[in-house]
Amino acid sequence: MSAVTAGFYQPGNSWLYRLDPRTRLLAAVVVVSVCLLLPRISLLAGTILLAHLILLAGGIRWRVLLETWIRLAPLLLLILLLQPLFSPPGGIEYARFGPLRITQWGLLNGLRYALRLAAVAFVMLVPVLTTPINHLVRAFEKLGLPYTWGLTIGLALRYLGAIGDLYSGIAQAQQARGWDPSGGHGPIQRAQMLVPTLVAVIIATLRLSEALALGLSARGMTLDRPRTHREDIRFGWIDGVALGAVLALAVLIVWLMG
Amino acid sequence: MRPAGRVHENTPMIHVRDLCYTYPPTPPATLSVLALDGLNLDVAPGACLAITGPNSSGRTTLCLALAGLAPRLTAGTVSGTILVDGHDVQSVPPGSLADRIGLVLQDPAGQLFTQSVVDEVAWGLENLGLSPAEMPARIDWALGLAGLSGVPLDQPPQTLSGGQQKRLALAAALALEPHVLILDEPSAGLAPAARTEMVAVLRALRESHRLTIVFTESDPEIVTALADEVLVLTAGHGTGAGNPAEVYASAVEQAGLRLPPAARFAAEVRAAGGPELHALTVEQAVEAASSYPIVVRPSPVQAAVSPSRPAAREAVKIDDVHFAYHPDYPVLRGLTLAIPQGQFATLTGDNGAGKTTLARHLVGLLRPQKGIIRLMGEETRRMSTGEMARRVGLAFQNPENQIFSPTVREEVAFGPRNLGLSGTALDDTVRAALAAFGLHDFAEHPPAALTFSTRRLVALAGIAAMDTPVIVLDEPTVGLDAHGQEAVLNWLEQRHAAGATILLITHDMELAASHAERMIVLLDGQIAADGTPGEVFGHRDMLRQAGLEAPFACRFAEMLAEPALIADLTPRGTAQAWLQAIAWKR
Repeated sequence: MSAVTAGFYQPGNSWLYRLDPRTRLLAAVVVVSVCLLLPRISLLAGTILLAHLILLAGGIRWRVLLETWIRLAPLLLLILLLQPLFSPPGGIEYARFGPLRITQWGLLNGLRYALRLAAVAFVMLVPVLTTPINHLVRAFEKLGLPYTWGLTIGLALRYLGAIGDLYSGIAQAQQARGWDPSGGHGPIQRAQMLVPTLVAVIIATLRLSEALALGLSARGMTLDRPRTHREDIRFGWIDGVALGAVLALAVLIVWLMG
Repeated sequence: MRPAGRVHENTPMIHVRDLCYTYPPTPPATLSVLALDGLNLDVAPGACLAITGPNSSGRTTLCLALAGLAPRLTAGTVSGTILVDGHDVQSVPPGSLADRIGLVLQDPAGQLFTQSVVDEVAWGLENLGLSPAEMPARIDWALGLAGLSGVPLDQPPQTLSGGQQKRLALAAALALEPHVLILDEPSAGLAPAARTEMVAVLRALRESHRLTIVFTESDPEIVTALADEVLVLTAGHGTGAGNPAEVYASAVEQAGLRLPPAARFAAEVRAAGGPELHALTVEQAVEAASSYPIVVRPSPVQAAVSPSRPAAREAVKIDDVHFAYHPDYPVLRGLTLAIPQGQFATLTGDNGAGKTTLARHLVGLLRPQKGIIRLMGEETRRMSTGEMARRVGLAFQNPENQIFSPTVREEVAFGPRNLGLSGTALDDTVRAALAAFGLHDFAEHPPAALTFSTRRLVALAGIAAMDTPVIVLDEPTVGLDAHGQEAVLNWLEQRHAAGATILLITHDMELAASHAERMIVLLDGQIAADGTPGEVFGHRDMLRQAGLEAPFACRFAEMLAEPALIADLTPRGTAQAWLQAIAWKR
């Protein structure tokens, strides 16, 4: 595999892939909106479970989901640790560090924010993992966005994974030259290492984006002609049923829990 | 393909006059950089022009300027005239001549962004506004021209080999039916067989479609195989022009250019007072040599390169190592290998054979899923990457993945500092490493602002400064001119003489033939051949299977039907052996 990976898309041909990309996108937006509107712990946990079931039933390998959890873990852990310290007091108080208090409400708040992030991530993975970039761009276009906007969003999603690869490539090069991240370096030294690494990632990303801009322009991106589409996306009756079911469920949940 | 449009036969397809291109200064430098300086150029319709030259000569800049993309999508300013197919490319919006000028960049990864082969080729056609009904035929046609007819249309481009990715980028450009095709280093980083395929594809394109081709190339064998005309660029100046024979007959090595091995052979013959031979390809060398009958049949020569030092302790021992990035696609499949201390070995094989994966195991960036690796007799399972880095220095294939410090000096100091060096010892080590690669003048420069070839030298200097007993270099000479290559090889020879163990990963068969004591060929994650280069190059079927080709010396001897002419596998050794065989007297 080349230095630039294929992005998040996982090739497949299951029922989930056969739905129109707009169905997957709009359904994901509806579910995410409900999660943001009603941040109940049970609802968020249920959404995460449902997203996992849909992805697995749609042919996505469990390893991909596990890798997503591993990537999210540091952020989720940070939220779980910091949120209780800065939440308004309430409920049982478990510990106090000067002005900072760990309370029952704080812990629940931390859990709620972490679950909300995980729910949004896994729900958005449904369209992102199952839609090739050209269909994603076409879906945005058919939803009313100009082509270049849709392409920009599609490329950003496509190359997000590549930026992660650039970071790990540079981190690996540092380790190969004797930098041992687990070798007793203090947090300040680690933070000092982080800055040049991030600068190098930014420079490498800029190089990548320049090469991409040259490559796309050389292939006629800026030609002033109406675009055609080799293979267009189609919104069929099954898409109507699927999107209708998601909408109905969302309305029901908001009505029952709101 | 459409004929050459309204351009008259006598009108050049590409017409460049007084082209100057200037890049803004990069701190700490305060002066602008003149990348192209008053360049004049005419390319006739249907001609094929190779642009070659030492590193930092302005070749890529010229490609982008001809395509009308620089400076508007890059940095810099341009002056002068560039007419391509009758259009002033600098006066129209960038990319608006995409259906007339096809461009294939050096790194296809920056160009291939969709998730299937068919979508990649179709994307440009969609931009052209071609009707969907016409697309399948055009896509098949373009893939066929690029030699990719057998590739599944739904295959993700990122899973293709390096050579296939380059040819897919070529197919995507050809699908737009351009009149002019510009290629930046089409053979860089490819295994020999993939390079041969690329040459065959471009030759067929010229013959069948009379396409005007301009390409930049460092490999003299590719230049001679393809080009009618060659332009030598040195620091933005045209310092030589003519057909390949004229250009390589002049003193191009002084300009930092490599000579084709056949030309080196002919030059060695002439320098030794032999017949006035001139050749650019092995076929021409054989034809020229055939006029002189062999009168002293040479006795079969064993490979002159000495085998590894006997009874040396093993520096690297790999025992039944398995590794897969994905369970369905194993990369290393029960690899077993021992490299004694002080040996200079090369590791070679097709793109994707597992060479880089093996190299990453030797510094602990990957760990065997099964099997054992020992460094200096010590098992690596419990070693940290830091401990492994004391024993093995690895230079990555892509210097972009290795460089991150704000200055070249800091970059070179990073490794030895981690290994515990400080103060004067660190300063001396860094100074010596900078000197070894001619980088003194760049010491305070930010590495990111340097050219690709200079960044590669910085990455190598960073490894040199670590002074490890084992050195693993992944394609260290790709993208370097003759001077850069010489600096790398001199350093390696010095380290080898000082007792270091060298594992050089390369696709350059001439390099492997002339420098290594031992040659290891990987094929599908297993060892396909292991021996002296002379022994390995004798296995022609295996070489073909592994995507490799024998060096000039072997091909010359084989085509002359005199296998005993193979002396030390270099053009010089072959010249000496041949002069003895024809009993030449001054």
